[in-house]
Amino acid sequence: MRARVVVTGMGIVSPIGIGVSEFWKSALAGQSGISTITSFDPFPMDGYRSKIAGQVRDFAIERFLDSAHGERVDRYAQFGLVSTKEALTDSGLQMGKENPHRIGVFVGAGMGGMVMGEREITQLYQQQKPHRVHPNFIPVITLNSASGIIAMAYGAKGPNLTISTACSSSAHALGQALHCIREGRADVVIVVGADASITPLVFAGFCSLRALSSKFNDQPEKASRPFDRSRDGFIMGEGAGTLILESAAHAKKRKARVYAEIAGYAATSEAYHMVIPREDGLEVAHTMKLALADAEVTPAQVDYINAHATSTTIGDAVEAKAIRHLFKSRADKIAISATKSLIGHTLGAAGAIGGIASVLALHTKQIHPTANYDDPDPACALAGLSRSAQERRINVAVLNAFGFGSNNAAVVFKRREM
Amino acid sequence: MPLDLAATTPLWYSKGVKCEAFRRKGARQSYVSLFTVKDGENGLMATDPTISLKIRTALGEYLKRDPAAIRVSHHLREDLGLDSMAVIELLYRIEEAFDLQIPDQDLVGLTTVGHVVTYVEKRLGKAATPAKTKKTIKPPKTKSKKKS
Repeated sequence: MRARVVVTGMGIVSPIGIGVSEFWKSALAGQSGISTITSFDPFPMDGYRSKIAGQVRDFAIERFLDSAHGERVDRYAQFGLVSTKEALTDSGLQMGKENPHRIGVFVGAGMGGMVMGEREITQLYQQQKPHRVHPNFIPVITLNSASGIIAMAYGAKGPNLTISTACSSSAHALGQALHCIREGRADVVIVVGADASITPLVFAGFCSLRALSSKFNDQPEKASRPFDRSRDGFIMGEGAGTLILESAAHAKKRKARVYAEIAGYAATSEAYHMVIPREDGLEVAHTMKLALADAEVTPAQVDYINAHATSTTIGDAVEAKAIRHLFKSRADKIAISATKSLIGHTLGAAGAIGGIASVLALHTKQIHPTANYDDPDPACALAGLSRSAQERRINVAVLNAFGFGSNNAAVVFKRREM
Repeated sequence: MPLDLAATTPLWYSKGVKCEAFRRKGARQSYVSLFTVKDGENGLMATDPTISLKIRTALGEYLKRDPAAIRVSHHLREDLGLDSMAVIELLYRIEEAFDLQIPDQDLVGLTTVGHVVTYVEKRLGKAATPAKTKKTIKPPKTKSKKKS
């Protein structure tokens, strides 16, 4: 029998709360973390089509971390350090008592160290002084700066990987960590999703892609509205989530509290288009199907989906179509929620944060609301979507995450007693 | 914050006495070779207080320590705990503070706060003031032993 893998700790930095309990309280209340961007100041916002984002407010690394590890990395990696500190504490794992070579770190990051990266690039081109490029520029923007610093901060000497598949990055990190533990290559993997790139250049890039919502600049909390008829693009977010994945045997041995089992994972490519999903949704349906098979459950057993649902016109419709295609008549019996309706799209962190929402749904038997689902779009109406929190005991949860580059991932979580 | 420069910048340092002391120990000989200035030779004057202060302030900010507690005799690695990357970051700040470019071949000599001060003075052309007397200034014994 193959090794089972469980989730034993969680931590989060999000626009609606730093810390899992604060995040979950806000999420269940349907609180929005989306607001007008102020962080560009003195750079003017006038030229931007979209002017709002899901920002983590008042974040200062020294408030959360005693060590100096946060000082040499960019904002996204600082988020990852903080969410990981919470998750490790939550898991009760005593790093000093573990074999460090059996503990890995898998990070999903989409954009990486863009705060410093952008500043240095701009300065170089403006001033043309190559010797003024900061010596830390390369280590900071290198995409594995987060997985590196997290291992250093907490002493994890096992496999250390960074997975970058845009918006599905940390869903893949979860899945790869599951397989890594299943294959016996590690006892514990610290899985992190982190991104913090609400910067003038990156934000302008998403604006130019016409990917962001621009109709609700005056009502930021209304802008992220997955599956609603008046949705007009996603809202950029930032944050980090950490899940401690552990072999069930290892968790049992140290009498750890188990939140849920992570049971299955699938990764596919649509091999279709850099930013547009296949409209028939067949590839998305196929990805979920493969993940369920990996988890050894049938579509009929699924009762919750944490949808990718970014609030784009095409994306949400395709996902709804895929859910209908795979689950047939059961589609309307499955509870569905879109975490991005509350915090925006946290890019590389989205999979980990969606994973935390899925695990909390299994663990607390509560499903957070999908904000702004006021006028269901007939093209993607699903009965399981709700504007208010739902109380429901669920057994099997599916987490979807899709990324630019024609990239799909699905992860399956199970209630721990199953 | 107000600094007692006389207390924190030993006059004897730039005369090369400290370097000579290192040389006798032998341990750091290679580090100091570039900056060994014998007593009276070149007639160097005391360390420029502005430059020294700027450098120690930069170090203080970097290390989150009181600049007054940083002495020119402090070895960047051994006394202040900077690793090789941190030394590079510090020099980057110093390049900015003094609008300098420090070529790679000069890095090898910059191992104590005093080396950096002397180097910057040299580069800014401020250290060439002729000395009026050839009086030998002995290093205060208590200070030379001290390593905070």
